[in-house]
Amino acid sequence: MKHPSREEMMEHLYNESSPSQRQSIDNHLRTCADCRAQSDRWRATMKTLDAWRLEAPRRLHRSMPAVPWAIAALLVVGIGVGFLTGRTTAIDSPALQAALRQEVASQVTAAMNQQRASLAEELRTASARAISDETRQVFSEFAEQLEERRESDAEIYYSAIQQVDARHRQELARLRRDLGTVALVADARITDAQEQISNLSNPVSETLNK
Amino acid sequence: MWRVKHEDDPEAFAELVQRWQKPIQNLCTRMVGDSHRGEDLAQDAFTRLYSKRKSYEAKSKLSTFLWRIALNICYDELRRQRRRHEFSLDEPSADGSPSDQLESEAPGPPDDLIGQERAAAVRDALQKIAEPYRVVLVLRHYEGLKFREIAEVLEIPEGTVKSRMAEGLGQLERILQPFVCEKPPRRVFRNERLIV
Repeated sequence: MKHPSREEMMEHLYNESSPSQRQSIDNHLRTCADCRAQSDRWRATMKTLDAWRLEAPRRLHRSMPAVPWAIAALLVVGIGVGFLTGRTTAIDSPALQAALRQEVASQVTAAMNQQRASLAEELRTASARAISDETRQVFSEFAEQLEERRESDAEIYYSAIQQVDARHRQELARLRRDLGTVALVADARITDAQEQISNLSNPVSETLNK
Repeated sequence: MWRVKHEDDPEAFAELVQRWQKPIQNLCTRMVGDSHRGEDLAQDAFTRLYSKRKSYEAKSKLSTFLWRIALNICYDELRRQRRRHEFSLDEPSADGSPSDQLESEAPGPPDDLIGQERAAAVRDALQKIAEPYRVVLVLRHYEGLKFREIAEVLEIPEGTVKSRMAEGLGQLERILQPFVCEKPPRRVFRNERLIV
């Protein structure tokens, strides 16, 4: 029995397998308790992940276009009133139409003014945000440059330390060599001195023996 | 994007922002575990997109270009956060997680306390797993990118994306052990048809 790989299982869990592969894995899961248990655990984790939902991002507020709605609403009211008044009396119709026209005109003007004010506010907010973004970008570039400079300084510093360290090592090696030479010379001289003492002491002891 | 690149058309850029604001902000929020910071990072991503518009190559997908920009911004932010943690004189939290900083933040819309607790646990758990796994989980599970698309964005083999996904889910399962108690909907096999 060939178990599906983890990669194949991921494709299966996220519905990216081909139909034949899906069929094959489904068949396998029917018979293999281990794979089924693993698949169920992954599914449970995926379900748990769904618990973290995010709110819709805040957007630049754009109000609903008020003018068309105002016109539509007033037309509906106007038609309704016209219909009703037309049924009761036809004499007041022109006066009513004039009154409605005036009402529509004032409503439309008010709505347009409101929308103009709203657009001006949006423009002001967008400009402020653009300036803020620009400032942030400048700061960000400055920070990046600072970081690059810091890294470059660190590299120079590290290189200088390495050079000093290498010089110290060289000096230490030279000292060690010199010390070795001194030790050898001293050793040789001590040996010579011992030999000379020995040579000098031999005739004296022979004379004494005689 | 062509209009933005060649004509510096603000209207076209506004349309682009409107189309991509939500996914990019969600990605940033989930990568850094903080919705306010995510909002700022998304703005940074669009600012950088605009500043890099001339370097955009039409042969690659805009989405890929934008995901990469946003991810790089998230990585920069996470690096900064780590540096702040390293040099901070404050006592670190017991498990080293950023949950202390985020405690006051509402984790999301769920009204019930259990839902909020689960959401906060998921948010914290995602912050605990390593970035290579987190990014794959966020792009696949939350943003709905195909494995092939994630491989393209991250410039890694598709097989690696899938294995990181499996590993990430495994790590989350261990961290979220107390919350992963519910059984998933039982899958019943009958007559070669899959009934969920």
